[in-house]
Amino acid sequence: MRSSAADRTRPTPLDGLVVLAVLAAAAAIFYFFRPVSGNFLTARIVLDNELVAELPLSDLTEPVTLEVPGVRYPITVEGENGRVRVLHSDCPSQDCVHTGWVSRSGGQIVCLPNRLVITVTGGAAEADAVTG
Amino acid sequence: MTHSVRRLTRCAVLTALALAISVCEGLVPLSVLIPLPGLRLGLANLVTVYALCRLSGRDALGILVSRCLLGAVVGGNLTALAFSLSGGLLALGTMWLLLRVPGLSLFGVCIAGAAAHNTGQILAAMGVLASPAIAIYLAPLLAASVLTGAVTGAASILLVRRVPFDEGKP
Amino acid sequence: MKHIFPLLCAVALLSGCGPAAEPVSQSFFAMDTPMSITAYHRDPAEALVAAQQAVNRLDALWSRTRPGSDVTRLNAAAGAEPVEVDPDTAALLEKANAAALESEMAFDPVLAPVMDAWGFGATESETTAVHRVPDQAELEKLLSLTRDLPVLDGDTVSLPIAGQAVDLGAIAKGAAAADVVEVLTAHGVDSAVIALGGNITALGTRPDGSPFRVYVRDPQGGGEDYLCMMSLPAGRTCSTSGGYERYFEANGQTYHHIVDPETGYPAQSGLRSVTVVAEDPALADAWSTALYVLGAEEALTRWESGEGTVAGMDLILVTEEDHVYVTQGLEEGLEPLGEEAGYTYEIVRR
Repeated sequence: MRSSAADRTRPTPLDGLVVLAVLAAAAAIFYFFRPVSGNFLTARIVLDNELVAELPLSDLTEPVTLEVPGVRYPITVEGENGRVRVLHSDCPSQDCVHTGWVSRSGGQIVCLPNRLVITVTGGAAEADAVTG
Repeated sequence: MTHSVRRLTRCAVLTALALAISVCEGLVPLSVLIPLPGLRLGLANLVTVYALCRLSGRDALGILVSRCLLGAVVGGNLTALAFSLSGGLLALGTMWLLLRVPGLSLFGVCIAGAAAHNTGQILAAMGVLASPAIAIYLAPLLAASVLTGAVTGAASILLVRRVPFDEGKP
Repeated sequence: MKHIFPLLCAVALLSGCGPAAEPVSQSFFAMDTPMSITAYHRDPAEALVAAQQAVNRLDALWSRTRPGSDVTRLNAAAGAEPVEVDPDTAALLEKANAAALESEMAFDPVLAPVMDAWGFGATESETTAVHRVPDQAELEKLLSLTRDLPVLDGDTVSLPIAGQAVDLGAIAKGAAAADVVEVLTAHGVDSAVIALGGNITALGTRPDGSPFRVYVRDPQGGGEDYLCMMSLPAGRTCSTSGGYERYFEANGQTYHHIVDPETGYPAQSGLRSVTVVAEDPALADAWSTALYVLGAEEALTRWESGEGTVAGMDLILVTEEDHVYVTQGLEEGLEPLGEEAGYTYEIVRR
């Protein structure tokens, strides 16, 4: 097999083009595969220390409701694009319902009687925790 | 010596050489210097380039596959076979094509080969681990392949010029 | 080819985290409150499990409801005999006593009988609590049990009067954070956020070296309303106390859960909430309660004096006039978020 490349000893302008193409591919891959959590809000529903469900809030195009299985007091979680709330709960304190919508990363809804915690993660992490 | 025996011995010698190079490379891992999973100089690619330039595409393919199979036998690792084969085949195909492009030197060919090798490996990793998120590691590997490809390119220019045995001639 | 296996291992190890290590969180319930620990580390699973176990151990020592806990045994033996407790319990009681004395009993670890009368005591949770307004005579009687601190002799503790009861609820979560920090550090974790029911501890900084950021809840708002965002420097803990956290309504009046040990009634100090940032997590926890009871003026006087425990802390005080005092140590990185809700902010210097 004959090839003009095999006879050259110095880099050519076209080699530069190859380098540019490879670097451009690297940049494109970096751009498209940045860690997903940087872009998407997720609601993690943790019941009694166990993750029972995850709602991909950023991907929701219409509201979804979820009856959390295995709770002491029946509880319904509603998620829609970018936010989540407890729609209804049979728990006595109703704190979780009063919390309302949570849409910021780091935000939390707690239903103490059910030992249920809904945490919104992902997105541009503004805060690492909430006090109070 | 007949033509085919000649060819067979050449390929066997080159396969052994490629295997030895890749084992040696494993002894001095580049990733100690730069902590990037999968980063390597890719000196074994030298043999592929040489075979492509001085022998034929078929021979290069034969050498590559034998090297990968033997390496898997020596290393006793089947996953490794998937990695080296996917990387090696993609690199071979890319370089085979680019060697036909007029106006390129072995620098460009080897850089593209190194990039293709890394791409193949990452594709295999994505398949084995069933996780597309791994693709992010390809970005720094591609950037690094510009350097490693340039090094192997320079080496292959020397190699191809100094060891010029051509098909059919003694 | 040989080093492709290491590649596989490395990729498998790293697959959970992007180039800037992704945090791993562990959420659980302990001490009757949701907790979560978020660690930035290559493989924090073991550290997180060990941390949770450490909290569970302390919960088992300090719970007022679990039979056989140090506190349960101590309360059962009140007025009768001394009780041998775990060294950790003794150390915490000593710290609690010191905070009680320095705060002139605004923080009171033996307030439990009065809290129980209001229904804010250590019942299993809010669900089983029965809230009521105790009458004056009953309060007088109960208050007499809340002025003598536990007596310590090494690891032996006694409560002087029968009917007394210790409740470490206002300091235990802070104390647990200190243990969590110790466990995580021992496992090589140097960047983590420890949130034990509203007490936030910063172990180190974010991986990029910037301090962790914490929202402070708006005491009058809903789940998404925040008073401000602040930077929590490495090694510090913030703790918030506010009447809005637990309360009940009776006869058209609201009664919240932070009871003033002096009157036996929910504290009327003119504050909506107090956030304390301190080096010692247990002290942050205890003093957020104490300063809520003492009020803004007393809190700022103590801070400005430059002497005592409070002077070494930073404070965010929210008054009922919606004025927010922030001490100078928190100025950098403070982001007020409640201006639209009518809050005014003031940096206090000394």
